[in-house]
Amino acid sequence: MRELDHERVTKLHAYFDGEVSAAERQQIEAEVGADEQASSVLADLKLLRGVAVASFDAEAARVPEARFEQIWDEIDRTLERDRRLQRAAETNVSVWSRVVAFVRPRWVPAVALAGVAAALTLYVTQDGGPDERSSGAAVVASKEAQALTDVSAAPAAVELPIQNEAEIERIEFGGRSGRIDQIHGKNGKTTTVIWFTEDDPTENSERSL
Amino acid sequence: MQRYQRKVYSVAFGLLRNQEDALDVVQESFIKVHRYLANFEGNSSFYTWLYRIVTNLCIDHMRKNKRYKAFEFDDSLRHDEKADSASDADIRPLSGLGDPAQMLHRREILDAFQNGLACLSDKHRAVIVMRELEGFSYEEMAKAMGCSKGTIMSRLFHARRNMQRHLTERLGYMPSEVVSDSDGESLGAVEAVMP
Repeated sequence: MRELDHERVTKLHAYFDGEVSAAERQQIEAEVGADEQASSVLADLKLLRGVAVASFDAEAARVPEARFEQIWDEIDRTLERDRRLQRAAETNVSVWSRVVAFVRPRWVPAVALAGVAAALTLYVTQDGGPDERSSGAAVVASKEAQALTDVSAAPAAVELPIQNEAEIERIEFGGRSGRIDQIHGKNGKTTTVIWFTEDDPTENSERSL
Repeated sequence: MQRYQRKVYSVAFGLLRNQEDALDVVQESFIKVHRYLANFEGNSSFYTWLYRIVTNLCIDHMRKNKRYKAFEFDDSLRHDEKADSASDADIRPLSGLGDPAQMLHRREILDAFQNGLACLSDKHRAVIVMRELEGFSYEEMAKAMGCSKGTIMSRLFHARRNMQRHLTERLGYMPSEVVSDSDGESLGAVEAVMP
């Protein structure tokens, strides 16, 4: 009988676990038939596996069914919470997407417009604050940014300022042209009004910034 | 899914040796299965996939928990010194414990196995559970434990030998009779003849 060394026993373990090649398997099977020690090793491995499985089954059987029911209840609660969170996340994303989609194409013109308005405000601030107010759609670009309410009447109603060489009389912006007026109030203060004419010449409308 | 619950528990308990920790892993495993069921590609059986999830969760649990520090794979095994110094000659065959068919129904043998498992190092216990209970291949075990296939073979060899030694030392007698209870389940030997 061939003595079982460590290497051979390890090989028997690998054979038992199905981890040998087909050729090795055939060789081992041929040897095991005539080797009592090898057969004993394989029998022990088989028995140990059987005891292991039976032992684990017996151990698991000790846990009461009610304990597993608690676990399933908790699993259901967790999964329901997952679903609620997912639904909420989807709703939030949808609204945000709509807002972004709406705003995105308007960002550049809006920023440009704000820049021009800021520049004009700065210019007017340096030139003196407004005082006069009128009704209509006209908006006064001044430090106080006071609105004029009557667009059509405003140019006719006010007394044109005395112009000097330093004053800017016309302005071009976004394909539009405008007129700049200085309105002197009765209290001695001056208000700057910028009048923009619409592009369509057929419409006789004006508005100011 | 419920039909797997006790098998999953067995694996988790086998690796963690703590009932509540094992039940936590059972819960976490099934939640994960539900969450990732759509990702299950069907390359392996559902059973194998489920066991991989359980095993990975147990390994994560052991690595996170200080109680399982020994699970860091440093190959310092509690039983190895004894095992290496002992010759194969002092390993008695399990067949000496009695009829193999009856052994699987004897409570003291099943308890002795659990006791022996508790005495093994975390690494040896892990290879026993993964191989004998989950049926993992050496390659799968090596991947799960982050070591080489050769290391797995060595660990499995020593783990089995240590378990065999534990069982024969603890149950090194030949029970002459096994009595069953009313449900047919064996209660264990009532008479034993010491060798």
